[in-house]
Amino acid sequence: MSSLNEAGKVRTKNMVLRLDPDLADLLATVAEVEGRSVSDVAREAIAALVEGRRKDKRFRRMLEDNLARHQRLLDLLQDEQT
Amino acid sequence: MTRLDVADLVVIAARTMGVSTESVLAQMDVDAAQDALAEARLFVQGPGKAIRGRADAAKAGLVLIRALLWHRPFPEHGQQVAVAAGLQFLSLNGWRADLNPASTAVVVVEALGSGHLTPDAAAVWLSPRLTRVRRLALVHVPRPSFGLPRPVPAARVRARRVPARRVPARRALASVLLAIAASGVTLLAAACSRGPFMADGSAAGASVAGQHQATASPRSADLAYADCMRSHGIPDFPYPSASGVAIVAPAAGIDLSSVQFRTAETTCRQVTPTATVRIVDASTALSR
Repeated sequence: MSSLNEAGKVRTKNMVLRLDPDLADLLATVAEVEGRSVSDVAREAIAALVEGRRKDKRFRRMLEDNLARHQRLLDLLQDEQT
Repeated sequence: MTRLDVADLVVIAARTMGVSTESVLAQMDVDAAQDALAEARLFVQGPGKAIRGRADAAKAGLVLIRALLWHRPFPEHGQQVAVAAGLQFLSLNGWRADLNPASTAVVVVEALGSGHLTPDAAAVWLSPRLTRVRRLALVHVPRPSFGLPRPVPAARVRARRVPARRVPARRALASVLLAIAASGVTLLAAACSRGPFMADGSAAGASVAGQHQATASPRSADLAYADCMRSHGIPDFPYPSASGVAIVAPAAGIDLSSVQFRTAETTCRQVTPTATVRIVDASTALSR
């Protein structure tokens, strides 16, 4: 479920995360120490993780190469789904 | 073996769909993504297992693609993201894939997603299309520029130390049985066929449109076509996928060149003129 801001755009979205119990405890500890909510810490961690991948040059280079070489296939798959 | 995680999927999906990572996060089913990645990990018997060769790499990539197709973490563009993720997974593990011709690759993806093709069987097609490249040791090491609070990277490291799930004995046995079943199948050559209409156009099948109405929608028409085929002597004719592809598996024992099949097809094309079913012979589907 997502909530909307005044502009009608998605502001937050409820997610279910299955965490290793130890990791969940660690997350709760971090949140408590920093005086923040568990959701806030988890959200920041996910955003940072995604951002890290986004900036990984080797990862991106491979991705760009794969997408460029298979553009026709991806276009066909798009057609199949529509 | 370098495996993908949810963050990787987010970046791959964002680039493939041409949207921001925030947008992907907003629409991604995280639960489904985790399930898909966990299923793909089942292919690996233990943490750090290396891909032993081309066939192993092909199967590992296809297992991931199939898992993403089945669990559908991305309701839209699911096939595209699944393929892009599979390609990226192979690249990260030192394999360059060239999925050509694209039209055949589409059939393979459809068949994987519909369950008509196992990863083992599809690997027969993919293996020759893989080229070994220099392996880049890609480890997602947190960088100082992340600006991540100190405790959180620790959590990430801990998460990555969690051992991969072991394959339950029953699942392992099932995998072996699947492999054995697939080994008897030679998957070669794609033949998308759509038979010509016969001139006399008998409406003999008009009353056998079955449970599905031929005129309600393209999907209904396709299903009605399948019903018609089934009632015209091809009882095991497969129901087409959402995109109208009917994959005839070798085990079905359907001879697409037989008079009975061609007669049924001609009749049913006339009974359901709006059907757009593409019939793919899986036994010859993958050699192109």
